[in-house]
Formats: sequence, structure tokens, C-alpha cells
Amino acid sequence: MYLTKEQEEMLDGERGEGVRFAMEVVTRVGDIYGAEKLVQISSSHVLGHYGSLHDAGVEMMERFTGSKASFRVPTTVDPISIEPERWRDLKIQSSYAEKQMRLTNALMGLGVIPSFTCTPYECCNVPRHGEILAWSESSAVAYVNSIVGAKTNRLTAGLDVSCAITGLTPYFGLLIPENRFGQVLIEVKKRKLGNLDFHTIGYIIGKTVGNRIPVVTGLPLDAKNYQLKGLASAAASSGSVALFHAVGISPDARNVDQAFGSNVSEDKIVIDESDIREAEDEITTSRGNPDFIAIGCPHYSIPELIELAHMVKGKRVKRDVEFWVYTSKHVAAYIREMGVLQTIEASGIRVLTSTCAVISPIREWGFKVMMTNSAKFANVIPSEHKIDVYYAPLEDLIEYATKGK
Amino acid sequence: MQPRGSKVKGKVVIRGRCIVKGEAMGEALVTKQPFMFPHGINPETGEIIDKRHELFGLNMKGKIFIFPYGKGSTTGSTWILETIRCGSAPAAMVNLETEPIIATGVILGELLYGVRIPVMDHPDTDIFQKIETGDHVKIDAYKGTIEVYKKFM
Repeated sequence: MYLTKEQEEMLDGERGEGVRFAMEVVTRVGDIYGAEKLVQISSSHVLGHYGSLHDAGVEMMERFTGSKASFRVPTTVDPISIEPERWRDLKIQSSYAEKQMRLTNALMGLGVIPSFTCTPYECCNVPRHGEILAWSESSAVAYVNSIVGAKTNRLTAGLDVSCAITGLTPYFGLLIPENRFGQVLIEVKKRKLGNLDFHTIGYIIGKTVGNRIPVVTGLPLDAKNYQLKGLASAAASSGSVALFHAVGISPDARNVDQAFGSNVSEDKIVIDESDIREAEDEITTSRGNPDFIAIGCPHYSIPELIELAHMVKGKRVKRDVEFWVYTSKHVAAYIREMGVLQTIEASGIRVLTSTCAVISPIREWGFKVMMTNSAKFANVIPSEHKIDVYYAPLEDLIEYATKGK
Repeated sequence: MQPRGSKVKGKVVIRGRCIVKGEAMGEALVTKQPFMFPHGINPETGEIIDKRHELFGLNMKGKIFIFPYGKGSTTGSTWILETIRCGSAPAAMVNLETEPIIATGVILGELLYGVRIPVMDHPDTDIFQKIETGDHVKIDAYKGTIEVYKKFM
């Protein structure tokens, strides 16, 4: 791989041990994937939750502490495994919380923007079309590649901070324009898509396309950003989709031909009403009585929370169900000022910020059946927390929570 | 080299691309299904805990772990790194296509803990036809060879 003089110095340790370590990670990954050079990035989004980084992740992050290394580009961070202020209320053990705090402190030392959200593209870290990024968080990677048209590979914990520290990323994969063309056509045949349908369609796409880049037709041109966020998160978690082209929506896919570029579609997959129903049944593992309702995966946006407040206004959650909505602390601040947060909390729903059910130790609660409107939650939760999943639209969740049987 | 248990059906040699250099041998653990490290394993023990995976309940520790490619969250690298820290990692991995997520986890393991887990991909033949769980496999990820000693039948 070609390195500039400055990059050679970074690799030789002339800018300190932390930079050298980061540079070694970046160049070794680049060499493996045949990158001819390193390119500058505009921003980074990194992972920092103890639930997935474990003790090894804490040890890795603390390697940078006191080494003069710091993030060279604006860098946001994913949700963490505890709510910083209220973790004691959430039955989290102090030894666990302490590990998370060590991780958070190490990131703060590097200069991270403490966004603690999986949707930094809505606020704090907003990329534009064509920019080169070094992002982790599979749902955010799929969203910024597909809907914003920025360019990032699907990075991972450790490689993300190494790119942010060096301000560089190896030039390979989805950074190269020719590698971004579509490879398989997906035709969505259902009209009038509800919010849940976007998650379900994403789930089907992720399961079907393998590592090919899908070109999706039939999505409504007035689809909301949060609906596309749902689709992106589901496709990225049921498979490893890092980029899809939503024809008419994605900036690089004004039409099917543009999306495929020089590629020819290998085959065509149709998703119709019955496929969606079938996938919903597959995602649901139990229709028993849920004792936990979780929404906000990915983190709920302001419009989604306003809609939730409208739906629950004047209603009360039954005492035997915990109903939690996850969002970011900046969104929570806005909706508090709007009075939306108060309406939601008055119904008995907890608004949790900076964390999420996938990466926090909710096992302590002993939940048996989780009801959710997120295909990603549904897909990732069962093996981690040993609970069953009831996948349904938000209307059904509220109906169940407030009316009971 | 003749592996323990002298009765072998024969040796097959497969070539591939070296992702992380090194040598290892052990028993193969093979799946055609994409594999999810995040939330799919117990890193302390190496046990596979993804209820939806055909390998559910089995253990990857010390095995030559063969799967097509990874799936799931981008935290995969630190899940692999934690298995290395705990001494529960596979002895080697072979994929059809190794994602940066897996490569990064293994590279970090070498840099932080000095443990070398060879990784190879792009095998030149159908590994799922040539290698079954239980076969004895020797990986040389300097030369790019995978030697398979079929299990006694």
C-alpha cells in the first residue's frame, strides 16, 4: 500500500504509541483488502458499549489513554449499555456500570462527541452525498450509504476508532464507485406500506440477498426518513446489507439503470403482501402474553415520538407490562421542551435515552416475551436475552399495553 | 503430518487467500449458514448460543471454524477479540469471504494479546463439499493451504 511521508511517520510511532497502534490496524486491514492507499475521512461514528466490547474492548480503548492520540475528525458514538444517570433504576449491577464508565471515559479522552445514539445522521453528525466516512453501527452504515449517498464501508469496533484517530481509512470496498452498483433487483408489490412493513421488507431483503447490493423498486417516493431507517436497520441485521438503492429515493438511484450502472441484474426477487405476512410470522417466536414492550430501534426520532404521544394521550399502561421507548438525549431534550415527553411519560411509558435493549443487560428483569415493532430488535434479542418475541405494529402494542386482555 | 487416530480416508488439499497469516490444526466445525458473532456466542466459553443457528449448543473453542461469511452487528470484532482474551477462540477460521469485521477482531487479538489465529478465504474448491464437521484440518496461512484429513468412516 502506498503511504505518504506523514503516514509512514504515524506508522513508525513518531506521533506516539496510540497513533502507531491505530495506524497498524488501519494499514493491516487495508493490505488484506488490497487497498492501494489510505484516504481522508470527513467523520466517524464508533461503537462504545460494554455489552458488545466486553473487557477486551475496555483494554483496547484504554491503550489509547495517555498516548496523545485523539480523534482527528468529528466522531460520534453509538448508544451505550447503561443510561448514564439512571442505571441504578434499571437493575444494572455496579460492576457492569463501572466497566461502561471506563469505556466512556476513554472515548471522552479521545474527544468523542457524546451523542450515544445509533442515528447520529439525524443530528450531531450529518454527512452529505459523496463524502467518505469511517462508520460503524450496521443500521447507520446502511442508512448513510443508501439514503444519504455518503460512502463508508461497514466498519467494526476497533477499526472505527483507529480510522477516527488517524483521520484515514483504507480505500476499498464501498468507497470505490464501481463497487456501489446494484446486483439484484427487488420489486416491492405491496401498496400502502405501513411503518411495520418497512421493517419487514428490510428483514426479507437482508435474508434474501446475501452479500449482494439490492436495488429496490416499489417503495413510495414520499416514504418518511424514519421508515427508511427501519428498512435499513432490518436489512443490516437480518443479513449484512451495507448499501441498497431505493429507486427514486437514493441519490445515486434516480432510476433502475443508474442504480445498476455497468452491472446486469442476476435475478429478480418479488416481495408481495403474502411474503410480508409470512416474514412477520417468522419474526414472531411467541404470541404469548408479553411482559415487555420495547420500541425505538433504531432510536426514535422526533416525528415518531410526536406520533407516539398522540396515540397514547389519555391512556394508561397496565401495571404488569413494562413499556419502554429508546431515543437519544438530544431528542429527549427537544420533546421535553415541546411537552411531548410529559404526555408519553404520563401514560406510563418509560423514555430511555443513550442506550438500547440490544446492548444493555435487561436479563435482570426476567422478561419472558418482548413485544416490538422493530425487526432488528426482534432479530437480535432472542439469543442474547433468551426471551421470545412478538412482532406487531405500534397500534397493536399500545392496544395490548393499555387495554389488556 | 498424520493426525491422531491413524485411520484416515485420505488427504485433500485446498488453496485459498491468506487473510491473517499463521498455522493451526484441529477438528473442523463446519456450517453453510452465515454466522453471527454478536449475541450469537458466549465469549467466555466459546459456546454458540444463537438459537436460530444450526450450530446452536456446539462450541467453537480450538476448532477450525468454517462458515461462509459473518452477519449481524458491526460489533463482531470485539466479540471475537473477547473470545481470544478468554482463550475460547477458534484455532483458525476459513470463509468464502472474510469481512473486515472478522479480520479486525483477529488482528486486534494479535496486537493486544499476542495470539495468532490464521484466517483464510476464497477457497479454490467447494469447502462445504470437501470438509465436514469432525474432519481433521491443517491450515497453513503462510502458504495458503488447507489440508483436510477425512474423519474415519
